Order: sequence, then structure tokens, then C-alpha cells
Amino acid sequence: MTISPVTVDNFRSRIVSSDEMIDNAVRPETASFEQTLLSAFDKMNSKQQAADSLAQRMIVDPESVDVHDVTIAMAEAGLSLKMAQSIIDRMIKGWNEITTTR
Amino acid sequence: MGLFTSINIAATGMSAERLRSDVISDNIANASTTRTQDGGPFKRSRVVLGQRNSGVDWRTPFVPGERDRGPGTGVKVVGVEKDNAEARLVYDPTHPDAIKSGPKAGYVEYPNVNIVTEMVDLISASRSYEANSSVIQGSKEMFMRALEIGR
Repeated sequence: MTISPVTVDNFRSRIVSSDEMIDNAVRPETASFEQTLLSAFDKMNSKQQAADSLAQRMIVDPESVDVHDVTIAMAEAGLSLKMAQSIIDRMIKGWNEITTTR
Repeated sequence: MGLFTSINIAATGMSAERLRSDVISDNIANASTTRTQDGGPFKRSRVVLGQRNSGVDWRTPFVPGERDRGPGTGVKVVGVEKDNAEARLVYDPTHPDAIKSGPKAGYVEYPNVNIVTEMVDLISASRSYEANSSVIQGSKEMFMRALEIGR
């Protein structure tokens, strides 16, 4: 269900260490595409985890949480996921455009 | 103006309306409570709402930018206060809480809760809850529309 922060970290280390070019391309004064994407992932992940923990609290102790807080957290997590998904879709579309250039 | 600002603001409104309905249900449940821990009959309570603002609380002409607070961050519950209106008097000398002596002897003090007022408040609270939920729905639709740009 949730993406644990460990996997995100692994993902980041793999991307950064696999290719020196990425490191060279990262300019310190501007946030790189990769950094932006990964921080968006982090935010999305924390939203998912917040929604999950609220849902768990709802099940364990229904008196302590408001229903709308749970559903709003879930909606925010869903919207974040959609956002990340559309960014990735756009990125892959761009990649395909580049690879089919002849 | 973050992604979820309007959703979070609406969430504060929804929480406030939930509390209002809690207080209203307490009032209705205690509509004929004649004894409380403080003595005397139950007193109707009501929610006092205030504006929730974050960041600077001061205003100065020297830093004009600080005067612009933006759209605010929602509503907060300042407190739940007692309504000190007159208790309703009902003549019932056999009631254990009837007043024993004085000009009001034989009368029982009932809470100053008016069920009709409470029901109207309840309708108002649930409609406000609905309005806040509509704000969330609208904000979500705007977000989805934004994602559809260029698809």
C-alpha cells in the first residue's frame, strides 16, 4: 500500500550513483529535474503515510479522529499521486518523443 | 496558495461544525437536566468561533509587507461558553429538585434549552458542513482540471 521511505532513498541512490552525468548536470544554484521529482515523491509518500496512519487510527480508536479528516487525507494522497503520475507520464512522453526523432 | 490550502481551510471549518453539532447534541440530551455538578439546572452551551491566523500577529507601517496576511488559514474554536439566560420555571412541588423556600417555592428550574432553537442550529451546522465539503469538491475539481491541461 505505502511506499516506504527506504525504497525512495534506494531509488535516489541508484539514480545518482549509476551515472556520473547526472551529478555533473546538477547545478547547485538550480534545483535539478531529478531533485524536483524526488522531492515531489517524498511529499507524495508522506501524504500517503499520513492518510494511512489516520485510517489506522480511525479503525483502532474511532473517537479520536474526525471522519472528514481521514477522507480529506485520503483525497490529498490521491491527488498527490495523480500529480506525480501525470508528471511521470509527461516525462516518459518527452523521452519517447526524443527516441523517435529520426 | 499551496496545493491543498483551500482543502485544509475547509477542513478547519468542517471540524468546527462537527464540534457545533457535538455541543448541540449535548444541549438536546440535557434539555431537561435539573441538577449538575455546578449546582442548579443545566445551562445551554454554545461554540464561539474565531479566525485562525498564522504568522505575524502584529502590524507595523515600517514593514508594509507584513500587513498582507493573505487569505488566512481558516477558523478555530475559541471556546465553548455557557448561555446564562434565565432558567425555565415549571411548577412541580413533588420534584426532588424543586425550590424549597422563597418566592419561587415549589418551582423546578429547568435548563434554558429551547429544542426548536437547537434544531435550527443543527440544520445550520450541517448545512455549513455541506458548504465546506463543497469547497473541497470544487478545489479538487480545479486540481483535476489543472492536471488535464495539455493531455
